[in-house]
Amino acid sequence: MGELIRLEAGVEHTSWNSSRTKMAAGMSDGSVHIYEPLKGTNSDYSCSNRWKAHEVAVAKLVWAPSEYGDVIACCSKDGTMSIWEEIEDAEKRDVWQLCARFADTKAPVLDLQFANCASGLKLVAAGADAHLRVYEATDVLELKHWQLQAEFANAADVREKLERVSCTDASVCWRPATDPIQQQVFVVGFQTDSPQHSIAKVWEFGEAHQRWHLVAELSSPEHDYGRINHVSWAPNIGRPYELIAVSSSNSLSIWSMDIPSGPGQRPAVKLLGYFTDHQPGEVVQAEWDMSGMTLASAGADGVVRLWQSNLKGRWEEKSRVVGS
Amino acid sequence: MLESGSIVPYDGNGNGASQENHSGSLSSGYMVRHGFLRTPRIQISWGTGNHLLVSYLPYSEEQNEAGKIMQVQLGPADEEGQDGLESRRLAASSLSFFIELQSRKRHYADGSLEAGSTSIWWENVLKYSRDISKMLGSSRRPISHYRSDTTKASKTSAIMRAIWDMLEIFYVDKDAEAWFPERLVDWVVTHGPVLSKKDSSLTCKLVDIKWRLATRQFPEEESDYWDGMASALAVGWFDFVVTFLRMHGSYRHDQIDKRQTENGLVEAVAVLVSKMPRLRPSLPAASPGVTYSFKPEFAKEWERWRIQVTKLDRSSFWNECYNQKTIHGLKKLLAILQGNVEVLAGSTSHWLELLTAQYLHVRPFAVATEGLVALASTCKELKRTSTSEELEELILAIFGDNTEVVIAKCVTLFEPWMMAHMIELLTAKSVHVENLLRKERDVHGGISLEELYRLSYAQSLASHPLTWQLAPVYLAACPGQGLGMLQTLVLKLPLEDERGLALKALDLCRIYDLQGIAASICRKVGVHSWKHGRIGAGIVWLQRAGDKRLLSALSDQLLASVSAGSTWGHVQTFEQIQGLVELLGMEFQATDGLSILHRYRNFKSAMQNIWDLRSKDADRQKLNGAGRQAVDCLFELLKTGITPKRLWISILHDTVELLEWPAQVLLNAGETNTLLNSLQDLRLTKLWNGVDNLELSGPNVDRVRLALATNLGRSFLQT
Repeated sequence: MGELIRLEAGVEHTSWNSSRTKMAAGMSDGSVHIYEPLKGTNSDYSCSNRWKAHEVAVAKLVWAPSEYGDVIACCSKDGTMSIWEEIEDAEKRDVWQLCARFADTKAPVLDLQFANCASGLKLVAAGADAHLRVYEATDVLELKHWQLQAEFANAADVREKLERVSCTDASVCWRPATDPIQQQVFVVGFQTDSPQHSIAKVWEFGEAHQRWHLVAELSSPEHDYGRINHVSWAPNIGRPYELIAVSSSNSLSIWSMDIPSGPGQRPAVKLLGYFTDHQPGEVVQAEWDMSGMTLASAGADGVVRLWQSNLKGRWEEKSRVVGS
Repeated sequence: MLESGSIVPYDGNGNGASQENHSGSLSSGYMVRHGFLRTPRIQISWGTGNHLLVSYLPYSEEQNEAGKIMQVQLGPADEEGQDGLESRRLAASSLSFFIELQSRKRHYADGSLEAGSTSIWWENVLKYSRDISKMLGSSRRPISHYRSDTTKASKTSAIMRAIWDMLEIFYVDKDAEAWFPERLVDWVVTHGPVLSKKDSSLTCKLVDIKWRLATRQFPEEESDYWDGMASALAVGWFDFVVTFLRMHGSYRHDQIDKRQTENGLVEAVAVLVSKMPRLRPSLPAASPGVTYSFKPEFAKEWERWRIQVTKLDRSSFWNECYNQKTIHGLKKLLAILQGNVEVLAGSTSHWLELLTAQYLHVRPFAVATEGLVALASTCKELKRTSTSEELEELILAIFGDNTEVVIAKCVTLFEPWMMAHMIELLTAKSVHVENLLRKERDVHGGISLEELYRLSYAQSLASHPLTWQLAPVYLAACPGQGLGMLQTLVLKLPLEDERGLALKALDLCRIYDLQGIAASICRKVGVHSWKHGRIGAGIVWLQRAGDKRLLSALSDQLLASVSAGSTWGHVQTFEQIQGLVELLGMEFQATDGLSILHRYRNFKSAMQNIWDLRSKDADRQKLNGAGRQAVDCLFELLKTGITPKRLWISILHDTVELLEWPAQVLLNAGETNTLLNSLQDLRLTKLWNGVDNLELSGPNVDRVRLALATNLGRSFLQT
């Protein structure tokens, strides 16, 4: 317990790999730093690699599923996106090499997430134009070539599609799978002034029609959900329903979503908890633990709150981590 | 009570879970000292199990400040500061008992319990309970922890064991119902110290008296001597009383004549204590008292013994004793033996001691829990003690058979280990409790409390690299969501660099039939090995995964390396390629890359064979046969049309030796023309992009061209 890593100045974003053995930090000068423990230890983290990935600050970093090796994707504050992987060079050193750089995206990329789908490695990118772009690696081993498979607006109907939206931030989260192959379902939330586009939406790829369609909208009339900062889909180890947490500028909301019994059916969505405990109200991020039983939410107040459902199914704050 | 209780012990409100990281005070939760003046940005991530990783990042305008990542261990942390050493010992030691009980449970359910084992379920649980209790008793946790601070005490093995043993009395051991007061005496003897602070504990008090008075000639002059004995007698520590009585000064040889009557009275009391009838099956060795298992017989003997006590109390010998302290002390002991409530209250310090004294001396015939809660409450009112309130409430809930409160309190007080293991005790003989704990509830999609606590414990085990391997045993006992959590656990293991760990994970997949996860593990290790220069290992692991798509991609990469002149990555020599192609095997020949690799390997092997035969001076016929075989392999390689053209020049270069074959023409005119056309093709189509290191003009290519022309001429002449 205690300090695990002392970072260098200028860290914009941190991201851990799935087994929590490596941590990538995106820096304000556009470089990426990789931290890992010294060989044979579980602690003693140090920076093992660093390189310049972008010309401007790295905004977000994500790790690919470990079945594809040590691979990260990052997007910078100029909206470009790149993919890097660790390999061993001829001198037997671990080095990070560029796999692909996406310079031609139509709108700046705000968030991105990998998924290990049955057809291969996919990457969904949320753009500042409130559009989602799904890419797939054409080779499972060489991640140099990526194909844009789908591009669609995060809109429920034609009227929304026609609306011109500009977003300042976005958050995407695939539905976590307990088996290695992921179903093509994700939740996305955009940070924008348009109220309709500020609703977190769940998208699913329909195999029958080979296109992405909107499955659910996480919204209810009784509350104001503010501007979305982060969405997080809980791991499901056997629940008959899914859990999604939405962190926003004024609240943390926990949603349950039934697992649809058949294709084309819209799952029932229910608000399980709406919390404004973080002061002054802004929740920047929420993450589920490995069982999906505990949710940790980070507030702009510097406090991490831990939430659990009681035996009646009501979500409550159970503890908190306060920094000083 | 239960409905509002915490389900996984992250609750910072309970004494057990409240803790601090570094220093600071916080009534509820965890405190992390990050040291930033202004509230930093926070990013969170879950580590393995119950670890939370919190990144504290200063705002961009504070560029000079460096961020830090803190790891917070949620749930009860180990107090002894040895990185959870004692918790790990507990986890490892209790595993076999848990497995054994689960196995017995399965056999019991299908009626196939082996011969000789008991067919009454609670007796199986009793054995499990005693094994665990013994294991808890061997804890190496420093005793000072629970004596000095009862707020920290809740997590120590000593308190866990005390509660465990109490649960055994009330929830498991049916036989204990018949001799409940004596079970209570035994409990207080064993666990008395956990009830009080160090200085006021009865055990400490008596040990202190013993040390202090052992060397005194006349200990009876000290008030401690008589008070200590009265306390010991009240709670049933008769061996202590008899020993102490016989330390009385009147036993000294130089005193016996002067104090004969006094000595007689002391000895009479000692004999009465030694002969006290006890309603219990047996007594520990050298313990005073006469045991009776049959209640009517005990009642008869106890009445008779009581009469003797009364007779002594009223005896005229007291008038002949002149030591007032002895008279007063002995009378107090007799009052205790006669069940004088006031004296009992005065001689005990904790309410549980008073309760025990009440049962032992006032209600020795009481059965199990008859009026227990009411009596306990009365005793509690009489004695204000320093035991933690949570613990007292827990003990009262156990007395009152209030299982819901017992569960709620234990969740708050103890580490997840306790919950995962004590459920077996609670459900040993009560159908009601079984319904409470094993019925599916509206929590996390309909799992029972029993499963919930096992999942919670398994998650805490997953937090440490030395205990994660124990978690699958508990997850396997969770019918609802155990398998899902096991899959998540295995998928999160850091397998990439650890071959041993990967093998362990595969073993788990085999045991629990997780084929999909096993394939994923093999893919992970395979791809990681391949990308980190361990190409052979990569191939082996990917073959183990049975992933044709990856193997195909891999053979294409290998081929690309060969066609680039064998200088790619880590593959430097033909021998390496040959070994790798062998590893890849034949079953994936359908893929182009692998098929070409196999043919290239065959051609190179045939050439190697020629060189070997030459070095051994083999006869000409054999050598010619080998040469012809190499030519066949060469055309197998070239005729498919899929061999990359950039590979051709190196193949043609190898062919020179065959073209210049002494004494015989190996390639006929048609074959030679095919090779000439290939060379021409290369020039015409100019497909040398990306292979700049190979030159089409130069001595090597000229030599190939010359050899081809010469062989063409020779073949014409031969025909």
